[in-house]
Amino acid sequence: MERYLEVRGLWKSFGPVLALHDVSFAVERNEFFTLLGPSGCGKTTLLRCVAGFEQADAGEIAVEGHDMRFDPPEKRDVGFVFQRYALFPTMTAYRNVAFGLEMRGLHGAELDRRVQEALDLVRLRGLEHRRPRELSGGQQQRVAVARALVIRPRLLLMDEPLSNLDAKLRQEMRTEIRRIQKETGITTLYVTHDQEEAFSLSDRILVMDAGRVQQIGTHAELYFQPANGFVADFIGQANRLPGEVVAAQVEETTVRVLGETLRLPRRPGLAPGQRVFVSVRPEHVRLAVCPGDSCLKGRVRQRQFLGPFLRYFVDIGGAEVVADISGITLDGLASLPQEGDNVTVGFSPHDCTLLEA
Amino acid sequence: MSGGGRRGWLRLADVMVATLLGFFVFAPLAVLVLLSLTEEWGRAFRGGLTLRWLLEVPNAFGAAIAHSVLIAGVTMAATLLMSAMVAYGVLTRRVHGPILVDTLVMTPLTIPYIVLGLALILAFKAPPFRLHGTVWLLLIGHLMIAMPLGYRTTQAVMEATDLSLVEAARSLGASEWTAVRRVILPLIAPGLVAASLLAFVTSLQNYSLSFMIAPERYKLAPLEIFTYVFAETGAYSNYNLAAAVSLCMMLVLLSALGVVRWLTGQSWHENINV
Repeated sequence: MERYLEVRGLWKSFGPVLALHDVSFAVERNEFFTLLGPSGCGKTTLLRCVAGFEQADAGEIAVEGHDMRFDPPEKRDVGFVFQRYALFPTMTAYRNVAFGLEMRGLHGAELDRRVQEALDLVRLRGLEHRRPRELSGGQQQRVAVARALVIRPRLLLMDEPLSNLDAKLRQEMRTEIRRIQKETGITTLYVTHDQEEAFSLSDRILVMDAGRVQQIGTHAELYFQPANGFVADFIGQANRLPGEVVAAQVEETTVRVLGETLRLPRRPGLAPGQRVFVSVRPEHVRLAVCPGDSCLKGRVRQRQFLGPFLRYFVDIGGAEVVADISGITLDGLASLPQEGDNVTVGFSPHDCTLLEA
Repeated sequence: MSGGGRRGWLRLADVMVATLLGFFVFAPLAVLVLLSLTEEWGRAFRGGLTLRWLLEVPNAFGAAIAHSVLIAGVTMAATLLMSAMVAYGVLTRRVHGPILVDTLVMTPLTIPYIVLGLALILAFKAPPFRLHGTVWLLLIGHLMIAMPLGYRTTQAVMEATDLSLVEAARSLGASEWTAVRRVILPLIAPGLVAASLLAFVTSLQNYSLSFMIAPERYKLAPLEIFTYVFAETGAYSNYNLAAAVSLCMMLVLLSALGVVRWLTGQSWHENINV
């Protein structure tokens, strides 16, 4: 694994507010790496530190082994795409894209060739003589991407680039950004608060909260093996059932949850008597059928029809479990549990994650 | 129907406002033009039209006008430079306490110029800065009264600019200075032009402060005009000549305004709705 961009032990505070708390991670060459987290978690600050717009208080930011923490932005050779595009309003799309090349001393035919190439890449040919405000939001975003890429930077940094677009356009641009990244192979650091966006774009994702790294991994790892309660909650939906460790064996951990005893795959570092959470996704919860001994009894409080699946809210001794039942048909609907029905709630131990409380 | 009636009233109000404005603003100006073109005061047409007064202006007022334009020019340049630097500093948070800066810059606006003049004389009469009776004190005074208008205008346009434009330019390889010059300056140029004009006019037409602090024998156009209008001795009391020089200065200002409009005409409209 080649460490192309390496961030090590980064700290940053704004007055009394600690924005980055000992953040470390490494990004491989050609990787699409996303910083995901709720607003105010420090992800944008982290990106701005990499770009050089903010100075980290301590730590190291290195590309190919060269620490650039003290370099000004213009010496870092990174392309930046802003949330609100930040296109130069007095310049045409063409001049916007040409700007970075001019700063590198390019001119004439070579400059023109590179600009046209970049405009082709983002599919903006024919609009190059328009000013930013004569372009739609999506087109402005394309100009911004072209402008950042035309200089062939070592890194492409994107700060919530799709959040100002409407839902449909966002989907479209998402596909476009991934295509462009694949075509150019540029190592990309992407910031978003949108989990779906992160999942659809990224090779790997770093989940952040309160200035700290919560987990780094692929979408599958984050989804199926959340490292802690925050990640389990933030990524998708999760039922969090409070419990207590009864016994910690070699192969499995026995946990008492809502009056039932569950035998779950072992998680190291848990001692008997410790309070824990059992996290399980709604789509992994089954109703009525009770396989093995991971089985709880409850009552359906509410049933919602959501198209591809039915969402059940089941009351188990005061705690609520959400269950998504998919693969439903019109005929099958009637035979599924109704509101007020008593049901057994089951899930496979392999779909559960044990989290420290 | 009532809507139509209301529109009719509004139109009438429009006409009245236009008439009043026309009368109160343009009538005195018309008198000024007439004055500078007639032989004798009070006999507008009987005395006949003449270019005599206008032609006498360079002779009688040449030095004063030159001094006034020079002082106004220097004041304008200094105001623009300082306003732009401070406003950019406030925008990028390099200058701390923007409210304090604002108060400092705006205060001279609240002091009668005569009092300000007195304060300047007293402050710079004795060492360490013995500037009384020099052009420097005149420049300091004019800068103090031009800054509030210049700074406010500059700061307003600067505040409206998006700092991520500078960041974008820098990430593309521009130094901060290049980023400001290539990206921010074209954007705020109309505002800077307006600020310069305000500073220039404030300096050019000031009488009371200049009267207090201008060096002896340093002729300034407003002071000279006053002399010609209110001179005790009849020989110097020449309304026609005063009107003529006023007309000249008005023409200078109007043409400056025109040139500025023409120069920035394009971006003026384009940038307003960014």
